[in-house]
Amino acid sequence: MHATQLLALAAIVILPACSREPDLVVYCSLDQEFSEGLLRRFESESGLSVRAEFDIEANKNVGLAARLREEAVNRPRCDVFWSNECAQVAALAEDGLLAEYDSPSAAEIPAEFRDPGHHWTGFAARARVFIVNTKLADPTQIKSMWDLFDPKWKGQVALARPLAGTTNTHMTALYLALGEDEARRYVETAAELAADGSLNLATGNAHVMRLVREGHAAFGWTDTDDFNVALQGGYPVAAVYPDRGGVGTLLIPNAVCILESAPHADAARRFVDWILRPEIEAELARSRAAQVPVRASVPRPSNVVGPDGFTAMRVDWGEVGRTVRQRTAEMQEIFLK
Amino acid sequence: MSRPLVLVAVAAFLVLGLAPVAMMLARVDGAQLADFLSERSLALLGRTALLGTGAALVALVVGIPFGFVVARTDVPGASFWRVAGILPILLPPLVVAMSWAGMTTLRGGLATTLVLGLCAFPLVSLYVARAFERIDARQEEAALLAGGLAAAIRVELPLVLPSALFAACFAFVLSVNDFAVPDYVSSIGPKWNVYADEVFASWRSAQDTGAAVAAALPLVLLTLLALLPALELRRRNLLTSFSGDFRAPGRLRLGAWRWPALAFVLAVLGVAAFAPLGRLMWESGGGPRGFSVENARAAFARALELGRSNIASSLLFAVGAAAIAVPVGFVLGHALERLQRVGRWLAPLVVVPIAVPAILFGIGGIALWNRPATGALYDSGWMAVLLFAGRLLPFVVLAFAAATAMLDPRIEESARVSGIGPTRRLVRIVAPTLTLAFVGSTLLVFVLAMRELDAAILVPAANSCVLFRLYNAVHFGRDDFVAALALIVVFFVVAPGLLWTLFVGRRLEVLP
Amino acid sequence: MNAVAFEQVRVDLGGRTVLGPIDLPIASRTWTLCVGPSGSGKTTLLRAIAGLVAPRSGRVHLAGTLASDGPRLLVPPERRRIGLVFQGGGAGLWPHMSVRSTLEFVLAASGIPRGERARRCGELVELVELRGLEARRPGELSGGEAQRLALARALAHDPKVLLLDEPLGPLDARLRRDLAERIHRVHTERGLTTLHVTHDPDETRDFADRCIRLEQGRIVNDEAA
Repeated sequence: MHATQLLALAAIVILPACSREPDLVVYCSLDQEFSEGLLRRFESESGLSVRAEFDIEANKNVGLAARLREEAVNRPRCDVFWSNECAQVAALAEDGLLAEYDSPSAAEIPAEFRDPGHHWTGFAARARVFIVNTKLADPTQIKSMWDLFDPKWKGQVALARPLAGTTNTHMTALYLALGEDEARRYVETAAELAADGSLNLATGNAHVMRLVREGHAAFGWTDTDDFNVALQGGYPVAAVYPDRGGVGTLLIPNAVCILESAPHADAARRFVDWILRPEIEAELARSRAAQVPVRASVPRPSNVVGPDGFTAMRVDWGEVGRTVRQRTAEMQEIFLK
Repeated sequence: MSRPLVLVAVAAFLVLGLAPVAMMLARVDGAQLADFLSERSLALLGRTALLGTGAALVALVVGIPFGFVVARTDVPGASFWRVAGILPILLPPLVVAMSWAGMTTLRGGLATTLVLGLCAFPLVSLYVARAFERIDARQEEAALLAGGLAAAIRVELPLVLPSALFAACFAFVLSVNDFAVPDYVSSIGPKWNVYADEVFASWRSAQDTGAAVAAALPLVLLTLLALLPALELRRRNLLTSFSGDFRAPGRLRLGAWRWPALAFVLAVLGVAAFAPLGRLMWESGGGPRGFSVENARAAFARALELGRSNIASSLLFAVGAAAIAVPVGFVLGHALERLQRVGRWLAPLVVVPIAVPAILFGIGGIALWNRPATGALYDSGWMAVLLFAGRLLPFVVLAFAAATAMLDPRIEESARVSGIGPTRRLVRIVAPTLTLAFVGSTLLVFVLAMRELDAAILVPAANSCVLFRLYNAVHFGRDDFVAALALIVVFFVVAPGLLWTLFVGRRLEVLP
Repeated sequence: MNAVAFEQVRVDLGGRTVLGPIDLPIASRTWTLCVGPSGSGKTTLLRAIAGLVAPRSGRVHLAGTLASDGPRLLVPPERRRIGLVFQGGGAGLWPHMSVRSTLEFVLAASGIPRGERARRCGELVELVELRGLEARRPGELSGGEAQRLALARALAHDPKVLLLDEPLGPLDARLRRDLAERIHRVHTERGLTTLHVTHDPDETRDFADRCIRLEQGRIVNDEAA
């Protein structure tokens, strides 16, 4: 075949891939499985066409944030960023990339899940819990985050490498909750145990969940949504919300924000108002993701533990956003040797 | 040589292949560079070089005998095994690592090295097989008469070695750039970090393209260092040449050694391909929770239903990338081989797009194309096509250069003195005689584009590809769905080559 | 006038001088034999005339026009109006083209109108006695037939100079004689200037006007045949 014919063929094949300009562009790092349906419903209810871009789990939420920063250099195209955690969003706010918007739908959301500067709003959270294989360990015996390093569990515990994702956010938050020295001791101990195989350093929270549910580890840190997947799969697992009397359990909310450079700001505000409604939180609580509603008034199914079932860790998300990059760089030094 | 065509092709290569890299490099400042030459990162780099060397050695140790046995001996089913031997390189190494982690207790650096070496061995075996097939029958007969099979092998090994080393350089490059396998193996046993971890972690945490690129530069240098000897072997013509009155050698009789040789072939393919594929099949049917055909059927139905549009996107992107990369690569590959002056500066440049980590190539793509003037293109499927075409062009260029080297130059010279102009010569004389290289490199781009994930991660238009859906599904532990979708992807990756082998059967010229 | 003239031409290949420096005028409408041992530069001499290798120094004139000035190709091979038949049974034939399409392709490239091409093609086929084999590709021709196709192709664009690089080598004695006579007839009818490289000067000595002998890239003997 000649070069010209090949090029013509290429044009015929690819041209249909071009599409028209949408009314709203949403970048979403909540799993496509849970978010896509909601986005499509918004489309039909609002009559606006939405171009949704989803993150890949391997990126641990950083992919879309990186793309947002890169696109902002020459040609911003995203209106709304719906993130499945809020440290990266707080960092974007810190860098002046987010617009202020105080949505009327957010009125009932507790202040600790909202940015005081109204750059982002949190909703539908995940809790950081120990997933325990009930055939290998008694969940009632595991009470504190420090149990992870108890010599009796040598080789049977798991933690995702804290360089990205919610584990990264979790460890960054620990520096604020425990103080510099204690948090550093926690992180360094994990790295030391991982170096000789005493602790399984997983690629992500889902991987921790899999190690535990299949009995390769007795327990480990994961998110409630991952835990719920294992539970619904019929595996012998239980969740432990550690440190009831102490530092408490970290709740990491989804966060939604509008970009400062949003090409479709009006549509963006309509979407934020829509997604922050209590009905959406209730729906996400009922889904396989089992997200924890941050509003006490939102009904929750039996498998979703409410704020009354554990002690919530007190977190200044703005400070997490300001320190996350520095902490990640430090943890990179500790974990990558 | 058609100057306008070469200029157009060079321009296309500059825009598609080099401009994203240049855009990326422009973000780095000197201070960031110094950060990444710490003792810690140098130690990681040293371990990475060790991993690459180890994997290349594994690929050589397995690939040389494998290539010899399937190409030149009467081992039962030799022709079939020669084709089937490509399979391991079509499977994502992570799938191989995961399936073997479930079946053995080997962990750490050794496990990483073995998995990556096994995944890369087909490169070596393919080159070795081709080199063994290009040994002149008379030369071999003389050696056989003088000292039997052992003497023949002793004489032929030095002739085959340059090809094996050339492939080993590429095995090294693939291994040192792999992030997923060391990351995964470290996660289920003692930690064994490599430099790709550092690049990936920097990219995720830095939120600053310049810092991420600076972190990647040492790995880029290591990759280029490994590619230089390969380019030198190619330049010296040690890979492809045989004399004009070449006589193809026959298959050597192994006698009683036929069956041990078959066992070796089966063992290698079993470890590197059949076991991982079997494991995926088992997982699609329920895996550890109990296998059943109904489960498998349900998983495949769901994978097809949810993945259909992603498979269609991937197929479009892959075909589109091939449609652009193949004609451009043809003109450049031909120029690389025939124009010595052009070849001298083009050869090292050609490999640059594969020497940088794919994620950074993707970021460069965003920096290049996401502008008001090209915004519509950036938002469309074209973006994925251009990205894959740029990233994969080097393979096509090298494949056509190799194919051109095998072409009798007198075919072109006779056209030249017969008054045929350069463009016509290229289109009417050279292209039709390289049909097998056209089909081969189209399949090559198709396969690699279907498998490409890293370059696609950041680029919106490329997010609809099927690997994106696959890796997302991995997260939610839907092992049966993931396994079924992975097998469907493998099917689509293998299908065109399989159809060609079944219905046409002529050996494709695909090796760069 | 000289059809070809070499003026202190020297050709280096791989860092080694393989031809020259030599001076060589070749008069129009003559048949020149070029003999010499292997590696003496005979093929390089032909390639330098055709423009397929660039001299390191010296000048090549074709019909009074400066065609190569040192390494600079002033007239590219495709515009030199040269017919070239390579050494070996049909070497350099286009494997994907039949006899007819090969000849028509060259005729089209040299600007022959479509209507006239079939006639010219027929004449060429007739000339080299390939009638009935027009649909065959080189792979389906015998060594002698392939060599005759190579000759027809070399003549198709109406060259002024014919360069023959041992064109009769692989053929048996009868075919050699037959093809040599055929070439000589064309040489005479079309008023060509022919340079014939051979190992065996006896095969066409009857036709030759002149015989030069090359050794180590130099002309060591130049005499009327």
